Amino acid sequence: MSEMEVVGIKEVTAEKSTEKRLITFKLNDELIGIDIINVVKITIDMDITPVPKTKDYILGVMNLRGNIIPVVTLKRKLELPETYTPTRNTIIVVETDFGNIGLLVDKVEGALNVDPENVQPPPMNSIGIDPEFIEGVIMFPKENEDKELLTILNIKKIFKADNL
Amino acid sequence: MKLEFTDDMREILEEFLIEADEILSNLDQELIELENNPEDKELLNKIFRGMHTLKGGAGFLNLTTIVEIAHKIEDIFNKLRNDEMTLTPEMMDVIFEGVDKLKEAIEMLKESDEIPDEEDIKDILQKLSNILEGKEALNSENNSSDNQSDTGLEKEEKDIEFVEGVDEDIKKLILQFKGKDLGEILEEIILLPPDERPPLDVIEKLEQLIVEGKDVKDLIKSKENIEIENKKEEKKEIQKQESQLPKKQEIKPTKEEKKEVQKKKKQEKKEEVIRVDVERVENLMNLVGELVLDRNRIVKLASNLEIKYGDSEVIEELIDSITGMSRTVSDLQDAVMKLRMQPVKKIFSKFPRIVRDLAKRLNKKVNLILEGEDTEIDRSILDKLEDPLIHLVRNAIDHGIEPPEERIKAGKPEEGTIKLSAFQEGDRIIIAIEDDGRGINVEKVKKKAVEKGLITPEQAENMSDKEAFELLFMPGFSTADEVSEVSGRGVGMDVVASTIHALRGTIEIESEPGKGTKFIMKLPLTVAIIRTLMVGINERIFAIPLYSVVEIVKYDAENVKKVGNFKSFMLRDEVFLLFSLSELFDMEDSSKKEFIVIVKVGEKNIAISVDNLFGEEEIVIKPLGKLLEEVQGIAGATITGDGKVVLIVDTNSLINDKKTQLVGVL
Repeated sequence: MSEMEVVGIKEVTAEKSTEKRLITFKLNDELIGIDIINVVKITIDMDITPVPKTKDYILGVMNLRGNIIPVVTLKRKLELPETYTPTRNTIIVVETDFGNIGLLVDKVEGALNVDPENVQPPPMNSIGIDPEFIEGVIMFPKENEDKELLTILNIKKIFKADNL
Repeated sequence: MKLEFTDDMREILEEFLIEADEILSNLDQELIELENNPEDKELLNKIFRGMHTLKGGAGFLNLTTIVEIAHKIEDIFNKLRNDEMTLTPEMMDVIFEGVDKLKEAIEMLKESDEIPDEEDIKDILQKLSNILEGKEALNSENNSSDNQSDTGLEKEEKDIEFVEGVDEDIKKLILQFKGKDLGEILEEIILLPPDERPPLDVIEKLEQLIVEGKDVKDLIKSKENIEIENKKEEKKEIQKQESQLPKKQEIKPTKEEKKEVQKKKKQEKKEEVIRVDVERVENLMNLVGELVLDRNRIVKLASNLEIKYGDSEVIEELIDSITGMSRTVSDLQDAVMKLRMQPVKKIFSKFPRIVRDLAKRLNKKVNLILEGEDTEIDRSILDKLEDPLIHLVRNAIDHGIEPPEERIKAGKPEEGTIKLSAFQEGDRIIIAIEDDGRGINVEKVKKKAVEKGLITPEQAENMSDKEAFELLFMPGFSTADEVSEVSGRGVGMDVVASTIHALRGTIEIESEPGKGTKFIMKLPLTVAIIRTLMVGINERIFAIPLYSVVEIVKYDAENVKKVGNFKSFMLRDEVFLLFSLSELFDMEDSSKKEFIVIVKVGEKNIAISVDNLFGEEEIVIKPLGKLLEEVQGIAGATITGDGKVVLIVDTNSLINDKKTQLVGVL
């Protein structure tokens, strides 16, 4: 779907089919989403081998179906505080220009369809993430409470040569 | 000239490019050999045939300018092999130039579907024609010139008398391609451009004859047979057939035999070689790698099973069959590894030419000796070796070998010698470059290093010769004025060393003033699978490649001394710099040090203390991924029997960040 937009025929298919599918997860209390197109696999409690002499956001490496991939503590990469430490390690494996990379997140919430029309540009300093890494935000209605903010990350930008 | 290829043609083009590469790379070596041995008929024939094949292929693809050059060179060699011309050094230079032009054209074709324009090859064609004509003028006293331009075809035509009932078209073909057997003729005409090719029914007739087991000698009756046979260098068979041929009726009983001979000939000609895409081999290698990991896993599980349930018959049987499978997997691994092996000839063969050109340019006399060209090494290693080797050979000619006058004064033979050798030693390949030049001036090297601020004068003072040679490999040692000379191609000695180290190899220098210099490179046979020593530190496991492990001893606090900022370990009479592995990896230092592993770091040995030893394991190296490819001290990782990831220590880059402090201490 989003591929179609890239090609620039958004207007033609501007109805239901433009919906974007996201994988949503929690970092501390924030709800974060990434495009499902980038997601390769979600794993829980994998063994992670630390690698010495690397940047502090590199947690280590893990075995993904016989291939070795690096695992990044997403909170550290985004310079978010580590106020909450989960008991299980949940890793979302994403595809980047640097090959597959595992992202350590607090908890996976699920998959979600959103209408790109509802996506708003990133507000300045919304939750302390560099706006460059944010594709947009959605005010996401909740039943009992007020609205909740969903921040959509741009994975390709986070793992770009200049930003590593 | 831009060319267009249809998909079908492109396939043929790919084949042609591979073949052309092969021919041209052999050619350099053959030409050099020829220079030393201009009368070698076999060699002349070989070069002629190579050019001929190239011309044929290029003609089929309509690569006009390539055809023209190849055609001219072919003509020259045709004359040379028929003794109509003698080879002179001047001719050699032109021929080399022509071959270079061909190489250039092939490269162009590869990269951009282009071939040189007529305009670009005018020069070289003219030069080649001059060679051809220059000699013709001399010979014209004996022969009429049109006779020559057609390799004397008309004259010889009279010698051929066909036996009765031979098809007219076939007769023509035999005359046209004199000296070739039917199979070769068929090959020839298939290679011709479509408009010059004889009609299809002629080709069919020809095929029919071949199927029947007939050949040219069965169709003609004359002494010519012998000549034809001679050309094919199969003297033994001629003797047999010579006596049989004149009497055609008697041929029948021997037909079976002849068929046999022909079959054999065909088989011999068709080398038992298939070309396989590198990617497929890589893929196979990866799969075998996975299989090795799985095997390790299964072996581990089986031994756990044995421990838990003791000797049950089933488990015994299981272990038996696993042992069998293990062996097969090892054999398979070896076999696949061999697929990736290529003889070092592939790059060694480029050196005669390089040495010849460079020696000429520098007015030096150099004799190149190649040894162990058939030694095989993993292709990916081989490919990366080319530049370092070229650099070292250039260096040897430029800085090592003295000019002839200087050599004579020093009482050495006028001609310098460079020896390039390769051989296998255990699971390592040793490649050495040795010259008998002036050797390395240690004091000069030290002085330069001090000037460059790489070492202090005190360090220079205390340095052994061997340590001083190491300075050559330090980044920033090679100076700009060297780069501008022949030696430089932008590659410094530090790049040579780092390339070799990146291949998990080592490089050493031996040099004696006035006697010469020797570079010795030790390289692994293969890249993907290595034997390692598993060690434990801080509850973590690391794999140290076994090739860099020199010795393992118990940790003994009594032999540990503090030297400045560092610790040293005494073993027998030797003192080694001592680190703990955790220290090298910037981890907390663990409390218990049980063992010391002496490892080779670059060309030095250092001592590394570890907590545990877990024995040897054969592992498959996997990269850490692009994000982590530049981590110092880690060569990659492997997946162990239980699916865990274990990091592989890269001993060469392990102490890189400490190196500057260590110069002179090491």
